[in-house]
Amino acid sequence: MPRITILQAGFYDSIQDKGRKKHRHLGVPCSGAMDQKAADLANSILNNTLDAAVLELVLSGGTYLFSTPTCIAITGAKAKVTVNDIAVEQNKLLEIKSGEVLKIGAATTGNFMYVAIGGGFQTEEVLGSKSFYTGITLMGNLQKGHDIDYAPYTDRQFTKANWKPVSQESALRCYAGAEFHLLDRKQQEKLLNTSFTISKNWNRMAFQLEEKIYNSLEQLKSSPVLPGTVQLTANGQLIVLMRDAPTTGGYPRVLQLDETSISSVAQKRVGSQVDFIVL
Amino acid sequence: MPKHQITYHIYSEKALLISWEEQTLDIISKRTTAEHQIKKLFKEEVYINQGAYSLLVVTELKMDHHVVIDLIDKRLQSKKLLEPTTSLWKLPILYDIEKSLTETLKPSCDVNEIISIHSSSVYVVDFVGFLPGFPYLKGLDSRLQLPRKTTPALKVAAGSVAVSNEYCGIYPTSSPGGWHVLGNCPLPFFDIHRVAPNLLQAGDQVQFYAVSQEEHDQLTAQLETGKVALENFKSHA
Repeated sequence: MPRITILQAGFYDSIQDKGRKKHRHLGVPCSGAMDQKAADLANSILNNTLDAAVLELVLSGGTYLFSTPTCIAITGAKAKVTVNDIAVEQNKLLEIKSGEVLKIGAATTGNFMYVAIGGGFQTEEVLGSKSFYTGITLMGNLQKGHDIDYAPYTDRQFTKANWKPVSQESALRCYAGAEFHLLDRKQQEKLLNTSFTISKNWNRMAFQLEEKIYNSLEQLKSSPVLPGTVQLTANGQLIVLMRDAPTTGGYPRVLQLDETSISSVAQKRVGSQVDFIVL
Repeated sequence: MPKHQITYHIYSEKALLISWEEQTLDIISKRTTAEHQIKKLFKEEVYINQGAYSLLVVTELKMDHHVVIDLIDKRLQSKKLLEPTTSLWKLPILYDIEKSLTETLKPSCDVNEIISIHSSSVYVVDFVGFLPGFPYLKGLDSRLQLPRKTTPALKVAAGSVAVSNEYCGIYPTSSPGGWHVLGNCPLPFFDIHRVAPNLLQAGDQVQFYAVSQEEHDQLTAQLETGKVALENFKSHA
């Protein structure tokens, strides 16, 4: 089987796809690419199905050796990308020869980068998905020396379309959360009229926001939550749940991001601002 | 007055939240019946998870929420409650009670009393959430109910039986956690290699019985080598 070898791992490299949505009743998180729009774009460039597994890189990428010829596409956050030390572009199809080395540097915009490969990465499928999640898959992230299999090269990868990078908006489109109506008018207005700052506490499970909202709501009996659910904690902190979030939670759910906005918020860097707009 | 108070909330473009009033009786049967009916309606193209008094319906199909709500509501108002076939699990536990619990409960309850209270209740699996395979067990004696730790422990071992608020729970895998640990059960509660990865299903009944360190270690070894089958711990409720 063709494979890439991790010569140097990035900050947090993992394999991701559309996630394991069918196992919520077992308490299994969805997981999947944090920026689904960027992962979809990478797969589309290669004529892959959208559920093909991609390599997700967080903040900074690593160095990867290819065993056989293939095609790849790199999307998401912008970074310096080279193949055998020659600079290459993102958001387009790149042909790779045997023994070539891909190097991806630090993200200069956004947080998550995606490497799609012709036919997809071929790691173990667990509960209907290849997405890494500690405790479900063998590992949570890739380390130096690991090999990842990929599908053999075919020429069906070629497409002629011109692809544009995914656009980024600061306005996040939301549904009113299940407990939104329990907030008083002032709290609701504050929630919808404040530009919130992305805090340094973010990961694949959740993004915390800086500005607090006075909160007098009681905790909930454990209730279902989804990626994109915005919770209000007892001390007034807003937490945007992301792809690896648990399936239930006990904090009031004040907003729910639409699918596109979950991908958008994933690319917001520490210190940048977001606004919530209720649909 | 409608037969039972159900509210519907449009959760997202692909999700619908169905909630019952708190204190609703027979809530597990009601949720289970609803789950069954909704799956039939969507011909299984739907993923459902449960909370204490609600369930969340997620589908990849295009959803006209109002049409769906109408269809679901008609079914839920007209169908009889299912009585799920449930199992009774008798689970061995090596009690080793955390200080956070003994300190808070003394002087009214000493260690022996905590063990006696905990092992004399019959629990019911309310739902699964928080972690893969983590069961929320209803039926915890009010004397053992206390808020979760203000600072969660960095690592709670797999098999830990713990309490928080009105629930008893079991950590299927080791994880950070804020529940107060009472002891350890050697059974594998979540295993992706089983047809049904979760050992316990909503509605199942659970009782705990105390074992010694020696018995616990022996059971752990016997379960690993397959000398003792998981079925041995289960009977019809």
